[in-house]
Amino acid sequence: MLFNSLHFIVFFLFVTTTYYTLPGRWRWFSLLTASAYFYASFIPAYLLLLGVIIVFDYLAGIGIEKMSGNLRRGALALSILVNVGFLSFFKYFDFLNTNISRLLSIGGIDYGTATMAGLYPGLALPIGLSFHTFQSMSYTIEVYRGHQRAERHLGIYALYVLFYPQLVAGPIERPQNVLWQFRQRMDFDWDNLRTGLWWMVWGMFKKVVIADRLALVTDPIFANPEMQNAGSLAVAAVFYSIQIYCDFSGYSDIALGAARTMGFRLMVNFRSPYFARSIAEFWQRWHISLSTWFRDYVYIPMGGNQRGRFRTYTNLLVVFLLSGLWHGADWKFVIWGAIHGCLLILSRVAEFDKYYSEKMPGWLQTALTFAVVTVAWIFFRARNVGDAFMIVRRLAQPSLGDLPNLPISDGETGFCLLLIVLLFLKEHLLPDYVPAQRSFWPSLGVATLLCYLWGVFGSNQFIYFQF
Amino acid sequence: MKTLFSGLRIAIMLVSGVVLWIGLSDRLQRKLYARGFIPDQYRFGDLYNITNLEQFKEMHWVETDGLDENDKPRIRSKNVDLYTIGDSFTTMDTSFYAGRRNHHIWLGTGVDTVSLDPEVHSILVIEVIERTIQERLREHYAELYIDRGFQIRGKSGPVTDAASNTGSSLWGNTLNREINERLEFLLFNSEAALKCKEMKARMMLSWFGRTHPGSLISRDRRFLFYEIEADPQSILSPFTPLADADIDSVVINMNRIRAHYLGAGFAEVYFCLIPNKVTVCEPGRHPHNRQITRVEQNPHLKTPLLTLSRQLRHHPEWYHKSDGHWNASGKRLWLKYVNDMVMRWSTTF
Repeated sequence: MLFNSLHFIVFFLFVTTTYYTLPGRWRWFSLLTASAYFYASFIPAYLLLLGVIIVFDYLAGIGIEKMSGNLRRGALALSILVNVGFLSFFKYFDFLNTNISRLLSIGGIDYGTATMAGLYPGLALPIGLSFHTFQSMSYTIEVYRGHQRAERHLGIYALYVLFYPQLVAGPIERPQNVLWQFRQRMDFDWDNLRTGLWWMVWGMFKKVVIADRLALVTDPIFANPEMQNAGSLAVAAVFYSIQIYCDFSGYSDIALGAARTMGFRLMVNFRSPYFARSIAEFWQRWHISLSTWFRDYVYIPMGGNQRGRFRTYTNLLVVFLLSGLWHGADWKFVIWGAIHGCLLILSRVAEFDKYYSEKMPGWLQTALTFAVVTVAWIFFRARNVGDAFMIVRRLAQPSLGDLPNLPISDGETGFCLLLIVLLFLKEHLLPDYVPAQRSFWPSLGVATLLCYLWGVFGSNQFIYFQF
Repeated sequence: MKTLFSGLRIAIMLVSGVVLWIGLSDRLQRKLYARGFIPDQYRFGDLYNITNLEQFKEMHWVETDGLDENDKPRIRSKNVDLYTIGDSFTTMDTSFYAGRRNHHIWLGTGVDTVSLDPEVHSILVIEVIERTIQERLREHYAELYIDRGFQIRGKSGPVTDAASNTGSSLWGNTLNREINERLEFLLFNSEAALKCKEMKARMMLSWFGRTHPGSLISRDRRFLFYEIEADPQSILSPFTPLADADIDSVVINMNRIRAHYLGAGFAEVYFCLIPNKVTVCEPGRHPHNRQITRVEQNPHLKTPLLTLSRQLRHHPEWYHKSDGHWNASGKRLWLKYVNDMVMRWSTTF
């Protein structure tokens, strides 16, 4: 069930009104049932797989809390191993096997390449696996650290993992932020309803009006990059930067909004990332729930910036390589992560941030950061590494005749540019705008109508669903 | 005030719950449709249903699409049994055919086991629409036209029931992507909803020069096409280049199908290749692969053809303006070719 579907709209209305109609003690159950239905609507069988992970981590949490010393450490290690094992099996099996096979073939050893599809026909990557395994790991780690009491109520714990708004594409929550909320009786509140609905409509606008319209340009161009000139590729690269932001932050807005209508407050995932003046700042604004996850559970445990410069840089690079790999089992994602990691290290070594903030106007720093991020996105979006390097090469050697030749009309190109300007204006001037009480319903009506009239509707999945 | 809000909340819960329930149940929706609670989604044509362009809305669908008693053959053959395999282009009602006995299979939906009468000529006609030629007459030709074609009593192997192979399940039927189509059908199929859709479609065409994804409009804006049929990127389009080997494979498989049915006791097997709407209405949209002509002229072809495409190409008006199918004139052309062939067999042999 996609957020940008009629199925979801009807589901949301039913679940939210049912939530407030039921007595408090039944609400967790209704939300858990609705969330299970939501997940089952993708591939029902994977609900069982998720159930196994939930029960395992639920027991692990209790075990970790009760044990001490090495046993406690062992229980945490086992829990992490199982979660990473599931993730690796489904997501990285083919990637590892292919690369091992390639390595061995250099030495003349024929290892063969067994693929998941070949060994287990019909087995697909469960939707949102990377998100909910990270959220599950977050729980056991926090219990281990003593920041969170182990949850004794299996249903409430299951809801922590399954809660439908953030189940398949985040934000990757922390137990301290949400578990207690599932035990609260959330009374109906008009402010929550208004804020939630407005976030949902704004998120929908970003997805169906902006992201899916820009996809009309980016999809065909990235599908055949060898046929494109530098002008078309440059436009596609810039449009993709905006598309992925509107797509993913649109999803997060809808998730946060849907939760908020029922009184739940989830973690903010984006803070106008393209206004960042440096790569470091970009990562404080982009996919915050993932970057803080890596910070809290990988970077800091590895020593963070407390063990000298060389170790700090190594830690940074490892975190970004892992972040790249988290996005997908492909070298293009690893390169994307490496670009960001190297840029961050470079900016620290050469103290670029300090230099730029003294010498350059703010808007130029922002533009430069956007340009660098856009080049990195090429590796993220291209079909493969070869395509990505070819696009970058072609962009580096433009000629005068390379005018963009886009697969949409001039009218629609102009409309795309107008939407991008409107997006940046809104993000800059009114980042947290919610219409006032008096004008709320007319504003919501107009915004919904615009989503319908200007929206591009098809079977456009959210980009981050694949991760 | 509190009571009012409670009432509103419960009303939304009940209505959304009922809508979700109906959306989940294909069977319930069919019942509501059969009892007239929901209008026919395709009442103005399948391409209108995608594009919602008002200028392509055929208000008199029944008159332009339907055949009547006058289209039925006045004389029927006494010594030819007709068997047809077709799809949405071919007439399901066998009373329009001139055979002594007439059997029809909608490709892929069922299997018909028949006994051929040795006293009469049994003729098989297979209709294939241009966009499906490469799809149906390449790797899967035997599965589609032999395993799921006519099974001859006493000669064919165990019957493969197409319906049993579709892998239907409770989850597959309820939670699959079609739920969105069912919900749209249920909620946004009224005249008022169509007006809103038409407004959006009009704006999209005038602002951006395009129609909804899934459809394309001709350059002179007189015809609508399916995107998969007219987009050169689509492998089903007649604008996708085809190698001679692709044509040869099709021809060889047509010969194999013919050989199979001749071996089973049929007197002859005819193929009828129907051009895509875009081939008839806007053939110069992109360089055309001329697939039907190349099949017709292929030196390896042993199978006789009903070549109605030559006549049809001069009559774009024989296709519905709001639909990807031909209208009653196109259907009459098909019947004329098939029934004339039946009568030729009847009198010649």
